[in-house]
Amino acid sequence: MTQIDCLNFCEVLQDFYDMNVPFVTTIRAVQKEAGLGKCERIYIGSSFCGPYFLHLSEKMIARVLEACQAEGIGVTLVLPVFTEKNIALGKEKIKGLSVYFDKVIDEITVNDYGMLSYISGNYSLKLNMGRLFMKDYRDPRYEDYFHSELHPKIFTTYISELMKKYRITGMEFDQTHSIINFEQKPKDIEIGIHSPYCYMTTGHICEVASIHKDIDHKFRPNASCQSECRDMIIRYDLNDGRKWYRVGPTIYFENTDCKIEGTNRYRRIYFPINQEDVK
Amino acid sequence: MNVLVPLNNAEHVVDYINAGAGEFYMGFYDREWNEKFGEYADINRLTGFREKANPYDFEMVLQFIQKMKEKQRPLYITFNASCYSKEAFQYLEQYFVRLKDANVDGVIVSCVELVNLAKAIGIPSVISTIAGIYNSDMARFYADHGTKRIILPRDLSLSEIESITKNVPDMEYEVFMMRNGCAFSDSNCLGMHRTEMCSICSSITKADNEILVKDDNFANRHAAELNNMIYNQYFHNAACGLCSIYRFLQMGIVAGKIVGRSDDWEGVCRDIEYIRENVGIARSCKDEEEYLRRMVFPKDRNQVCKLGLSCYYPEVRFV
Repeated sequence: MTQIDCLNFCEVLQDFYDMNVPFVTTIRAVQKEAGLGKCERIYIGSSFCGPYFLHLSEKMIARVLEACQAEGIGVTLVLPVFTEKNIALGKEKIKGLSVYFDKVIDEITVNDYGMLSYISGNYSLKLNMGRLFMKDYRDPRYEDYFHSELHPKIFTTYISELMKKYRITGMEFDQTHSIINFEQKPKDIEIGIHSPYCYMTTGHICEVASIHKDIDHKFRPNASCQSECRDMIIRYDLNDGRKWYRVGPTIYFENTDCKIEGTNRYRRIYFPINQEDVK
Repeated sequence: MNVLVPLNNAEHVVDYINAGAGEFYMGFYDREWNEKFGEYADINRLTGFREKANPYDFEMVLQFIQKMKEKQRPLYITFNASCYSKEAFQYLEQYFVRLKDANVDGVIVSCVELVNLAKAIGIPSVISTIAGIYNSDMARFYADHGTKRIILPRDLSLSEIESITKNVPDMEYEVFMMRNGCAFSDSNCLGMHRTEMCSICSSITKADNEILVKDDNFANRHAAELNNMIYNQYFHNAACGLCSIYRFLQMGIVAGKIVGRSDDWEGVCRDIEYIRENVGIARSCKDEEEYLRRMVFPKDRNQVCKLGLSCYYPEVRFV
């Protein structure tokens, strides 16, 4: 089994950047903490949050990409589902980042059909279907389900047609179960596995974004924010011996024991959820 | 704007209609399905609640289709599990063929594969909130595939809903109106919704938590903990969209949905009446200001109508 080690800086890039250490040092520190080999690729952007994506500073992106280019590290740009309010701004931001396309950023991950169609029609990079497309239930509170072997349901006839139509070359999954079997995947698709945290639920109402809002303006869908998610995360104790986190609008559980079967090559996309652990 | 009501109690269909129900939706259970695909494979998003949310089997559904035709009320059948396997799609085709024969008004589906299947068989499809149509591009994608109606997510603002309806006009739109709120997205909440345990949103609000604050001083911690307390204790204890009816009529929204397939019929009836009455009032008002002055509030307004925390669309009252 060939495992390609990647780091996922989506949702947390700014936190690491703010540590004021060279980005290459950050990459090596995260690699070491995760016990990974050489980092082949990083993911930047956001899987879950439009406002987070829009807030990514150009200066930071430029520096991070410069570091990756110098180190020969590939970069995947991850696009969240933008709600109506932010869809035009999202496209504008993507256009701004397109100066890096085919240079440092060599592929894009999309998370909805609208964006799949848009990116495919306007840019020529390779495309991944992101983790929000994969809708198999995941719930470790149901042990019998969690320990069953998952055969992801995404591999339908329609998806095979879609892959041809939109030049999709990769698909990203979460570690939802104890075992995931990819024997039904289309031959040319590269699998990416997000680890060690599996997202369980997300949305467009963000608790954390409401911290500084008046009570009658709290918890509005798609509210503007000041990236408060950079300042706090919440850890939950569900009395199951498992780590549960809220980062921004998303709830994750830790799953460190997920066996991958049915493919002889995949990307492991490691997410350093808590930068305090990485120092 | 029609009131769309869950058909969860056959004895009270007439009560629902008398209260003002304009359309119905229902799911069904099928033990053969579970034997074939397993306990955790859903036909619809509430399959895990078994007969509590889906009290009837498929044969009964076929009978209801005829009964509702006699009563001149459209009935939609839900197939909105988060996802289906390739084999499940083949199995679902059998249902769709029989629904077509019964001349069903439509199927509520969660994915493009089922939109395509419905189209191939000749049944109108309604795309469920489970598909997460959050912007015009996504609405257009499903419109291009031939869906008849889109149920917009409950975590969209009114201005976003209005923009989508303008940008993709040749489409029916349905919105959430009464009963249950959701702190996450219906389309990407992938924890179980079943009888054995509460949903993950309830689990985390009840769980002990530790808030990790980066700049951990008194002010920051106080703000974070107070915010978390309000979220856990007061946010979306109920959900109501009555104040937004005037705007929805202006937008041409075709249906306002009452959720709660496992809820008691009297509560559902009461909510139907609230919507029906307020739609009537809104139609007779010259502007929104007049509507907000004259509208009927829910009976439990002393709890529900506070600070927008139980509003689907709080921006109407709390600008």
